[in-house]
Formats: sequence, C-alpha cells, structure tokens
Amino acid sequence: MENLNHLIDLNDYPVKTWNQIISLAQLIMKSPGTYKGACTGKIMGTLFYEPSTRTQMSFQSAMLRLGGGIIGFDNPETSSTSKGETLGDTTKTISGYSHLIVMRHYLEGAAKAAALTADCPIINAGDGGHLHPTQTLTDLLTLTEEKSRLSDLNIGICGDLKYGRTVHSLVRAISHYKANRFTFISTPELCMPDYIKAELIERGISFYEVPTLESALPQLDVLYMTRIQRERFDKSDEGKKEYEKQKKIFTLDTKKLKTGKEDLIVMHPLPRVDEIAIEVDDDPRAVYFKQANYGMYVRMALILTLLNHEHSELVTTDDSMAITNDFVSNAQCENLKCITRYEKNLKNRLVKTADGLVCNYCDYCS
Amino acid sequence: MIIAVDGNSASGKTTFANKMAKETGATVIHMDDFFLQLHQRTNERFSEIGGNVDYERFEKEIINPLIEGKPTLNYHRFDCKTGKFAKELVVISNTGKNDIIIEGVYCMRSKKWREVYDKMIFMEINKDEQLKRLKARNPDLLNKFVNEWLPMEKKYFEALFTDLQANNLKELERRGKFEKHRNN
Repeated sequence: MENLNHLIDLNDYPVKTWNQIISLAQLIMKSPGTYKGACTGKIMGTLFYEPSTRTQMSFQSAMLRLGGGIIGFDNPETSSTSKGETLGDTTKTISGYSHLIVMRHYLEGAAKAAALTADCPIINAGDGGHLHPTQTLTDLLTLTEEKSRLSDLNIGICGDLKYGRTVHSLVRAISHYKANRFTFISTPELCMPDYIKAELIERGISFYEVPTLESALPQLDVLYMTRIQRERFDKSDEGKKEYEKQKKIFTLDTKKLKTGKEDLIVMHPLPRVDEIAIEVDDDPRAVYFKQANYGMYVRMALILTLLNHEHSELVTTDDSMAITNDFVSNAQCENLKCITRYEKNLKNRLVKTADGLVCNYCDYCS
Repeated sequence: MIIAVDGNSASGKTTFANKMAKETGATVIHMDDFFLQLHQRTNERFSEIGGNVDYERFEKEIINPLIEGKPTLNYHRFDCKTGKFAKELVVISNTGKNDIIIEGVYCMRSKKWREVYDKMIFMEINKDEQLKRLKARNPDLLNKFVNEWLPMEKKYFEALFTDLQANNLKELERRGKFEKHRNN
C-alpha cells in the first residue's frame, strides 16, 4: 500500500497531530487572507453516498476558500454506482481526477475500504454509525476557542448517548487530555454503552450518570446536546407518550439554562430539532452556530495538512491505517452495515484481538 | 495512589485537593458527600468520637471496594442542604491510572481506613485565621461551627493522634506516608 495520509479514524494519529491541525485552524481564522491561494490548482472530490448538507458544504467552502476546485456527487443515483460499479473502482477512478477525496457513506468501514484503491488521500466524512473524525476535530476546535483549554473540564453530554456516534468519538478524544470529567445525562434506555464506560474507567477517568438535565446543569463547564431520535422509540401509543416525556426532560430552555455557570458553553452537532428551544440561541453561552463555523476552518486546516503532508510533520501512530496482515479469516463480518458485506473482494477482514474477532474495516467485534 | 487529606475545618483541604486534581488528573472524593443522614443525627451519635460522618456508608461505598480492588467506586452524594441523596451516580475509576484524593475531616478515622491510603496529609491552621475563613465562607454557620462542629473535630483529632502515636507515627512520617501541612 502506498504511503498516503488518509484521515479515516482520528485515533490513527497521535494527539500531537490533532493539536497541530487545531493550531493551524486557529492561524487560518486569524489571517484567512494568507491561505487564500494555498490550494490553487488542487481539486477535491466529494463522494457523498448519503446526503449531509452541512458536512459537504463546509468541505466545499473550505476548499474554495483555499483557492482549490471541487468536483463530486451528493446523490449516488446519478453516479456510476447506480450502474453497479464497486466502491473500489469509483474511488480508483475519481482519485485520478482529484488530489483529495472526501467520502460520506452509509456503510461502516467504507472510507477505509476506499483508501485501499485510492491514489490520493481520503477523508472519512462519516461512515454509517461508525466514525466521523472531522466532527470530532470541529468539537475540539470549538472547545479550544470557547473554553481556551481541552483539560480540566466537566463536560455534560445530554440526550441519546447510546446510538450517538458523535458523542462516542468526542468522549474518546477528550479522554486523551488531562483532568476532564464527564456527566452523562440520559434515560437508562439511551445511556452511554458499557464499552465506552469501560474504556474511560480503564484510562482512569471518572464520570457521573444523571437522569435529568436540571440536576446536572449547575456543575457543568460544557453542555453537549444531542437529538433524541423519535425512531428509537416504540411506534405504539405508549412509545409516543414515552418519547414526548423524555423529550421534555432533555430539552434545554432558558429556564433550565439559568442554573448553568456563567462561563458554560452549549454545543450541538446540529441539525437541531427541538431539544434546544429557539429562545436559547440569544444566550451568549449558546455556541452551536459558531461550532458549525469552526467546522469549516478545521476542515481547511485538515485539507492543507493532508495536501502538504510532505512539508509538514504529519505523523501516524504505529497502528496506522494499514490493513494488517495478521488476520485469521476472511469470514463474513457480523455487522449487517459493514462494507465487506457489499464489496466482496475486500481482503483480510477479521483480525484476532484480546476481545475476540474484530473487523478490520468497521471495527465490529464478534 | 490513594491520598487522604484530613485536618482542621477551613485549613485548605478542598483547595489543595482540587488544585492537585487539576494538575494531575486525579479524582477527588469529598467527605462532605458523606454527611450524616437525618435519621443518623442523634445525640448518641454526636457524642461518639468521629461520629459526625456517615462512616458506615463511606466504609461500604469507598473503603471496602478499595480494599477489594474493585475497578470503580460508585456512590450518590448526600446533599446536606436538601437532606436527600443527589440523583447523579458518581463513578470513580480505580484502575490506578489516576490518583484518588479523599479529602475532608474524619477521612482518617480508623486504622482500617488509613491502611488503604498510600499517603496521608494532615492540614492545620491557626484559630484566628480559621474563624476568619469560616465567617467569610458562611457567617450564618459560624455559631454552629464554633459551638458544635469544631469541638467534635477537636475530640476526633486528639483521638486520631493518640491512635497514630500508638501505631508508629514516626515510621509513617519517615516513609513519607504521613505529613503535616500548616497554613499560616
């Protein structure tokens, strides 16, 4: 495999590299003019196999601001995928047309699979419920800018903690920095999965579990809100009632926000539905729209870093994105949403680890 | 490491613990979260040396899991203002990656507890400064401190040091397991 620097999983890089990207984003924000033509003559391909307006547009805007060009699709129906082309072939072809590919896919492990055939760097812009590293970078930049630190924070995370990919990545990333605590605010049904809690405990990090937003709010430095998805609840009348009840408990309004610290910040990956009342937007502590804006700057920094990596100090960790060879079998991954179920030619699927057989692509552990 | 910080009220225990936590990533357990529950507040209990703390719950929820080497310590804070347990469950990692600091009066109240701690710090303060700080903290509670809580503490400290002397305090100090800090 060629030594190309992809961004599939943030954990393929050491924390030092994350910090470098964040620092570069801060430099860009300070003097955007300096970076105006930094990517002139470069082309970014955006392959969006499922729509994500915010992520796609922030990448496009980032590249245009750097003076580069963009090609791509946001509807696979209009691409050759609809003719039955494999992901591998599409990536191989498009990587000949572009210097960088940004990929969003509904299947887990898709970006890693794409990186195998690509002749240019791949950025994972979300692969199903698996990873979304640029959202995590966005969150880290937001904290750095709005709290001036990534340590010594009590971070409350509210809503759907069970299925929320964003919050899992965030918790893991923040746990690399010192003296942070977490407050998990959810119902028992939507609580943080045990494997994430076990990771925190293993790392020596303490946390709180709270059943209501009100009782948690006064102690927090950061409140990260997420959407409670209606589809997670039973379709019966009882399920509807339960959803309405839960929604109220976990909705942020100005009355609840009154009890929060003066220097609290409220974050949200957006889109918001009704978990944050519109009235909250006027509170200076609400930073979620700024956060969306930081997302664009951090993507500018990422594009620059990946395109200029021969000039910068982009270092990967030892267990970088290479598909390892110590596989045990090419048996089917048990995850129904895994890319290997659709791209039959992918090799080295399952790796043996202490936890059992783990998929090389989607990290599913059977 | 498990570090215990005991000593006079308003001597700076919490400040010290919080500062250390911020610098090292340690987790702090406050003895204040183990205040006596309403039904425990009997005259008999208050006349007991070192009785002004829910030592039954502390031993069950903190000391015993530490002795057994449980990966986590789990408890609910007792809120003395509302007289109820807080809804939040505190989950403290005990995998040795980060230190645990236990701070507050009575945290060294028995030999069994002290044997769990890798390091003990006893903080002292002079009377005038103590009263000044307590008054600044909450003037309404000053009388309660002077007439009830400080005398109870005094009895406990006397008993604690008698017990420590009997258990080779000098040796503990020599090994750096016990030290006194004096503020002012």
